Amino acid sequence: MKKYILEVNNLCKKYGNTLVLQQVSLSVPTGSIYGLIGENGAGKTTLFRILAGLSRQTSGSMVLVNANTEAEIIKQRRNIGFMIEAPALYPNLSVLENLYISQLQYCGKKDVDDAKRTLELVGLCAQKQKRAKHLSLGMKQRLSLAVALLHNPKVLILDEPTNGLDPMGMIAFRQLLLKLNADNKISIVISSHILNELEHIATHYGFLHKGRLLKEISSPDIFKSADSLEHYYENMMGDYRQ
Amino acid sequence: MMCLMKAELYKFKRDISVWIISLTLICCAGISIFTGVYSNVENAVLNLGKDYMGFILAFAVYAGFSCTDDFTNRTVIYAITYGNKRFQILLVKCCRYILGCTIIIVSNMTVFMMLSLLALGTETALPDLLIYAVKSLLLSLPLFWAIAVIFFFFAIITRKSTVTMGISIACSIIGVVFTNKAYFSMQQPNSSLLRFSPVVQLPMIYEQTLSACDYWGAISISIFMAVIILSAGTIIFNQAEL
Repeated sequence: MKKYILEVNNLCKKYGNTLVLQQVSLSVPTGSIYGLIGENGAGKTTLFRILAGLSRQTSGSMVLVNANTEAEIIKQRRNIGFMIEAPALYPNLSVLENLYISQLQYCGKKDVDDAKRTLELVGLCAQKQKRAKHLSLGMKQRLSLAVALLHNPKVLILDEPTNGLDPMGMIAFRQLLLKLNADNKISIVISSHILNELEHIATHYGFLHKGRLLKEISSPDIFKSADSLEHYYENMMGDYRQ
Repeated sequence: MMCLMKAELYKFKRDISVWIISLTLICCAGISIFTGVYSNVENAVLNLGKDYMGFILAFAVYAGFSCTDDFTNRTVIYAITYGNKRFQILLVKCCRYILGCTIIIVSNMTVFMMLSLLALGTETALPDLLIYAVKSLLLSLPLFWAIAVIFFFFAIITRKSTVTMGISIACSIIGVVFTNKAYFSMQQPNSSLLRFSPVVQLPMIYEQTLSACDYWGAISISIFMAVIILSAGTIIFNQAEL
């Protein structure tokens, strides 16, 4: 097994004259939960969009699940589950139909049992006939996660997935991620502004600031120098600003 | 690609916009049948074919509904991350749109003919009328498709429902009115290049004044233009930030 399931090397992204990502290099260890931390506009979503193929990098390269050429990367994206920005759903279709479309796009056939099993996993079984537009934001997030999980990915890339979740929903979501990581051996890359949440699950961290990756560090190393992730982040940003 | 096609057909079956547009067109056409505008069914079919502006506007509206949904919902992310090339996504969307446009024409023509047959009666033998209607419909379909591809192009480059509808409706009015005006104001319209335009050829099909040479010339030019438009759309779509 390769040491890193996802690697990004010197990635740059320019929108006009604005450099959104500057020489970002990061490595996500296989089997880890990688927390990507950064303020608004740091470039987290842009990085995820490039990984998903929605946007193209200006320069730099990446290795996704051992693939490094463009053609291989396009194929290997099948092994990654993405949940980027707001939930991407068909609002006029039911919860189940949203899953069916994903199944058809992925393998060309519907699997009712698999869809129901995934809904059970994210706790949306009771809403399976509801139209997506009638779901609450938290439920939409869960449905988005169900779509991302439907094809049993090796890696999950989640951009602020706990937005809109109530406290119980957040706890359930955290437990679900830990379960997926432990039982299904899914590596997870997750961005969040809620540092307390990340502290409970992440094994590795990357800190993005104004398009630059300031540091990559493992969870045990953080607690050698600080008592919480929040303090570590505060100190690090204080040092950086000075 | 087949998986994408299956998913697109699944979405198409659940999309009611094509039926709402067809129903609206049928209602509008039905008003002229029941207010005594036409003397018989032959006259009604001839006028519906000659006055094709309603179909073109319907295509413009349908382009806004059917071609941009994946971009406004952001569900295009799934098609991309499941290992499909952007060109394939474009091609499948185009097929779905053309299928919808075909249903709009065929359903409208069929219901309109049945209504006028019941309300107005026929002066010629029914089999002759059917042969005329089916032949005219089949000959006109490729020309309608060629026009529809232009609206599809607008949908792909703007990726916004209302903008697509706005541009397409404006272009269809300008394109049809000005082309016809220019064609009929010429001293020798039969020798002008405008005779190869689909908007000039369409009324000729229903009036049965069609020249085979001009028709095939129009089809060849339409195919050529459609290939150019789709290629340009693919190049733009490949570079697009989704």
